[in-house]
Amino acid sequence: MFNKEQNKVKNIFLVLFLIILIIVSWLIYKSNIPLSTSYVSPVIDKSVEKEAIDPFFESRYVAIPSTYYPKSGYSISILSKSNLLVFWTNQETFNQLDNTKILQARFENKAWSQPQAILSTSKLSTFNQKYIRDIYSHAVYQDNNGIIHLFSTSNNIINFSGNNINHLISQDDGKNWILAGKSMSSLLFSKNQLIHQNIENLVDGFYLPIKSQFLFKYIPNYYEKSQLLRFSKNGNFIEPIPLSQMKDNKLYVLPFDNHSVRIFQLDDNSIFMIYNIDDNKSKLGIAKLMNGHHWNNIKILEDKEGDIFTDPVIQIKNGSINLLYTWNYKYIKHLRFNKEWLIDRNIDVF
Amino acid sequence: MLMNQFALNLNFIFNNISIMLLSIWIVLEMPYLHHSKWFLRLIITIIIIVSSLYIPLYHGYNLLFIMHSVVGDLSITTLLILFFLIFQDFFIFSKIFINFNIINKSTAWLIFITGSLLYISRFGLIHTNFYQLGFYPKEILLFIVFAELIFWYINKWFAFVWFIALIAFYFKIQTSINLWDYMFDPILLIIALYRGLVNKKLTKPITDFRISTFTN
Repeated sequence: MFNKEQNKVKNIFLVLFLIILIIVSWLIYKSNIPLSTSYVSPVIDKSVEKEAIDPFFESRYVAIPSTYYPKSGYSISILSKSNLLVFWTNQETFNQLDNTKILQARFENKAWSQPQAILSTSKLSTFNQKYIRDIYSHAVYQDNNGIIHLFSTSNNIINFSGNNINHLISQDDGKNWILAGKSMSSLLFSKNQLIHQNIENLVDGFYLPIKSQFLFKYIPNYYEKSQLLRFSKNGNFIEPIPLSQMKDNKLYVLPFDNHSVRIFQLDDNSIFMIYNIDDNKSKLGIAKLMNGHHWNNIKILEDKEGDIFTDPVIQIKNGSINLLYTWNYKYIKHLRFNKEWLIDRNIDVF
Repeated sequence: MLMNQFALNLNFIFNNISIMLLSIWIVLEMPYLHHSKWFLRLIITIIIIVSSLYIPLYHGYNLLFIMHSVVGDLSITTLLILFFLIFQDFFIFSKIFINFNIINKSTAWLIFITGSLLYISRFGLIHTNFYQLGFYPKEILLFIVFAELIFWYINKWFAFVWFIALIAFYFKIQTSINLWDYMFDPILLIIALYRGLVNKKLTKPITDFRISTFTN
C-alpha cells in the first residue's frame, strides 16, 4: 500500500516535470526562430564616376611615431569623398606581443592626423576579464546606417585556450569607440579565428567571414574551416553559417591567406590586382586582367632594392581609389588616384 | 545595439562565481584535503576566495582572470554542479551526511560520451556538426526532452540542473546564443571523466542525520 502511494506521487512528479519541460522547450522554440534569409542580397559599392575627368595621383605617409611598430594587417574606411579612416594593429616594442593596440588615423583636409589608440590589450583584458596577450587580424566595415564596425581577433593567455573576436562600434564617424557586447570566444583547444577583410554588406545586416584553425593542425588530421558570421542591421550576432551551406558561395570564397595581393573591380567590370612583382617584395605593381586569362602589369608603384612594400589595402568610393600599403613594416603609405590615372599607360610612380 | 549592461554584469558575476567554484573544487579534491576536517576545509576555502580576488599572479592579474583566460566561460550546468559537489563534499566528515550524488557513475559517463560526441563534431572530425544545431534549436529540443527523461530515472538532481540550464537559455542569461553552451563545456567533460574514473569514497558509515540522496 505504501509503495503504491509512493509510486503514485513519483508518477505525478514525473508528469508535472514532463509538462513543464515541454512548455519550456516550446517557449524556447518559439523565441528562437531565425530570421528569414530570403531578403539577403549583397550590396557591393564599386562605383566610379561616369564622366571623363583628368587623371590624378596623390601620395602621402601616415605619420607613425618612431617608437611604434605597425604589424601587418591594415584596414581603411571611407567616410566621405575626402574623409578617410585607417586602422592598423601596432606594438610598442618590436617582437613583443604585450601592449598591442589598434590605432586609428584620420585623413582630413588632405593630411593625416596623429594616430590615436582605440583598443589595447589591457582594455580588452579588463572588459573580457581575461588576460589578452595579443591583438591581430582585424577588419572594418561601415553599415548602411553609417555606423562603423571594427572586428579584431585577440589571443588568450595560451594557445590552446583559443581566442576571441572583439566587436567595436562607432556611431560618430570614428570619434568615439565602444566595445559592443562581450567578445565571441573560440572553443577551448581551437587555435585561431582569423577575420577576413571582405565583410559582405547585406540589405539587412552583414556577413563577417572568418576562418578557424584547430589544434588538430599539429596532428595528421589537420582541420580548418571557413564560415560566415551573420550580424543583424543592429550589429547583433545572429548565427554562424558554414560555407558548405551557402547556395551560392562564389562571393564568399576566401582566397588569400597572406595580404600581399589585393584584387578590385571597377564599374566597367575591369579587374585589377595589386601585387608584389618579385619574391623579395621590393616591387609593388598593378596588373590588369586581360580576356579573363592573363594578367598584364600596367603600373609599377614601388621599386627599391632592399626595401619591402607589402600588405596592400584598397577602398574605392566616389571615383577615388585609395591604396594603403606598408613600407619596411615601419610606415604606411597612402596612394590616391582615379581610374583615368590607372589606365593611362604613360605614367609610372616610383 | 549594445548588450544590456545589466545582462553583461550578470554574466561577469556568473563567470566569476563559476571560476571561483572551480578553483575551490580543484583544491578540495586534493588527496589530503579531501579527508581533512571541515574546519580546515573552510579555512582553505576562505583563503582561496580571498587570494583569487586580491593577489596578483601574472602581469597584475589575479587567479580568476588567469583561470578565466584559460578555460573560458563555463556553462550554467557546470556552475550548479560545482556548487553541489562542493556543498556535499564539505560535509563528508562532519556529523551531517549530505549526498546529492549529482554526478554518479552512470551520469558521469553519459555526460562524457554525449559531450565528447558534441565536441568531436564541433572540431569537424565527423561529418555532422551537432554544435551548429544549438543555434535556434528545433530538433535538439526533442533530444533534450528525451535526455531529461532518462536523467529523471538515473539522476534527478542532474535532470533538475539541466532543466535550470534550459530556463537560463530561454532568458539568455549567458552571452551565448547556442543552447549547448548552457548545457556543456570542456570543463564539465573533464569533471565527468574524473567522476566516472575515480571511485572516491564519499561516504562514511551513516551516523546521526541524513538528507535524502534523491537518486536511485
